Amino acid sequence: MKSVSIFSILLLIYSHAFSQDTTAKHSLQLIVGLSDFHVRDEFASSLIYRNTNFAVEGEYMIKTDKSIQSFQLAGYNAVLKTNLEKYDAENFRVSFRYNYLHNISKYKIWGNDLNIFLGGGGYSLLNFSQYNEYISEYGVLTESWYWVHSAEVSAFANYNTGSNNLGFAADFSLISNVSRPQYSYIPGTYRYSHINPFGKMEVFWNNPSVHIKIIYGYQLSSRFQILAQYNFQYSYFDEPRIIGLYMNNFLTGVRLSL
Amino acid sequence: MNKYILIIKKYLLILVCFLPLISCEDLILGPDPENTPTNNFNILWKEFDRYYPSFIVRNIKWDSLYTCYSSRINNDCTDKELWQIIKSLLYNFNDGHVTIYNTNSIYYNSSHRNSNEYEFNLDVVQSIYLDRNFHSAGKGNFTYGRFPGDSIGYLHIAAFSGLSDWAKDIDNIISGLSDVNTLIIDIRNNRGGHVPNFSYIAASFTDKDITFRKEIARNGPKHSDFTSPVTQTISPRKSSPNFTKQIILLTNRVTASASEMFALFFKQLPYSIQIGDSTSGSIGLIRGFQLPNGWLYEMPDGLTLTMDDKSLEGIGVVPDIYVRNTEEEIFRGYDRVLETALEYISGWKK
Repeated sequence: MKSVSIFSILLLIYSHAFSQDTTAKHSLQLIVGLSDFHVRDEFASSLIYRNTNFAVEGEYMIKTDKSIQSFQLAGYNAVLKTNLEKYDAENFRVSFRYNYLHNISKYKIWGNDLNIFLGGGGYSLLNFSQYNEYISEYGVLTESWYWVHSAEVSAFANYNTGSNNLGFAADFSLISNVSRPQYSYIPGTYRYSHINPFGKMEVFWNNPSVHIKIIYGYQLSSRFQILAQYNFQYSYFDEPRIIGLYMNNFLTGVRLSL
Repeated sequence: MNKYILIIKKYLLILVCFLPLISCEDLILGPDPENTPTNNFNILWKEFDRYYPSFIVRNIKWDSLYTCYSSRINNDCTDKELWQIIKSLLYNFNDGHVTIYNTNSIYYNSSHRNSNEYEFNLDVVQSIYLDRNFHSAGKGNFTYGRFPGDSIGYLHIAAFSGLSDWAKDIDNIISGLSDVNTLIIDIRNNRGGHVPNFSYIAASFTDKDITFRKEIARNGPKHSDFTSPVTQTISPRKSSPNFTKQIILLTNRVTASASEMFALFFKQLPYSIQIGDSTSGSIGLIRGFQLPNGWLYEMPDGLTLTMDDKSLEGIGVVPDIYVRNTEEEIFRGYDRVLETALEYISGWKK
């Protein structure tokens, strides 16, 4: 039922978006770089695990004079470290974000356009880690995950000088569905992890999630733009134990107009 | 060109405004827990308090133990002193699944049992009793053969550990021993392993569904907060041979964890008896935790109950016939437990 509700909200936003314009410009973006990731998941450990790893993100964008729609997919894989030598964690993260943004105002600054967009969308992040130790014969402390699906409110500002483009985006979760491990071991399964894609419905003060993005683009030709992007993502939840995580992503790549 | 440099400078300025976020781990996630003796002790105590499933069945007064041992801790304690205090605290568990390791993998296990592994020696069985006529399978976990006379088979299972398919070798072993009248299954010195391995092997010894144990786990902060029980049933594999004639299961104090679940299964079979010593009394899986100083500690997670809701923690699976080797007997090549089993079988024959 919860998943159906979230899907319905996304579908509503999506169908509304497609009813808006007919002169859409489509583009595809691929960027790669580094993700500086930090997590404290007290279900597995009271220590912070962190590392910088390879990151890849892709985005499909439909842009009109009045609106922007984007579909973003990102993936990360890392061996996270602590301050302790004999512990690490194999971590992977996958995220998907859909945004629909409507142009609410336009300003001229230094002779160039500054467009302000407001809207919303959906965000899904799976963060999974296997926590390892290199002391006993067993080798594994536990497994843990944080899987969230959020309905978000989003804002985007875009300053365009013609060949140069600077954008600033921010997304804040409003309501979320969060899946986390149970309190402890799951009887009859011989393990802790039994990853459910859906868990508890939460409002933003219980499960705050913030995403900030700064993107710079330089137009190489009518179809190609080179990009440099900085992302900051933060999420927090406190069941069955506190998990706080954030990542700083530094990426570069190209956008191709279709 | 200058125009572009100016724009890039402006953009960099905006980026610099976000740099504090990049380097502010303490601000965003808070600091790592302090690595002090007091904090290490407190973290260990609290994690046991949250997750350990056997406080009630083992009658452990955890709050009282905190009062007793925390008074000995202060931040001037050396690592050696902290190790001794934590060892003393954990001694109260008397649980084979409660262990602490330092960063050099030196460990202390809280079990008090006299689980002397030298009271059994597979070499003695192989050389004296099987007359060196034995085979090995399952990546060395199975040793099997026949006693002189061919009517009694022998199968030793060294461990249930490992994630490969080694347990499937049991099918060939059962086929090879299908003509014996009695099978002695020896799980002495088997310290356990993975439940799926013992479950696969156990299925070779039944021709009907056997529900033989229940499992519960903590689901809240109170020592009495438990999940609903989940039962385990072993079902025969239709495509594999099975052995349902007379079975004698040999156990000792070293037989632990998943091996004890295996022994519980055989308790449900009317054609099986258990000879030897009680098993270890530490039945369950193990979860590891870390301390800020790098030490690792382990505790059981689930609690296994018999079908009549009794916990065997600290007791073990009790044999039908109690008999125990001495180290000296094994040294001179005499296995009293196995002799008792063979004698019992000769009684069956009469």
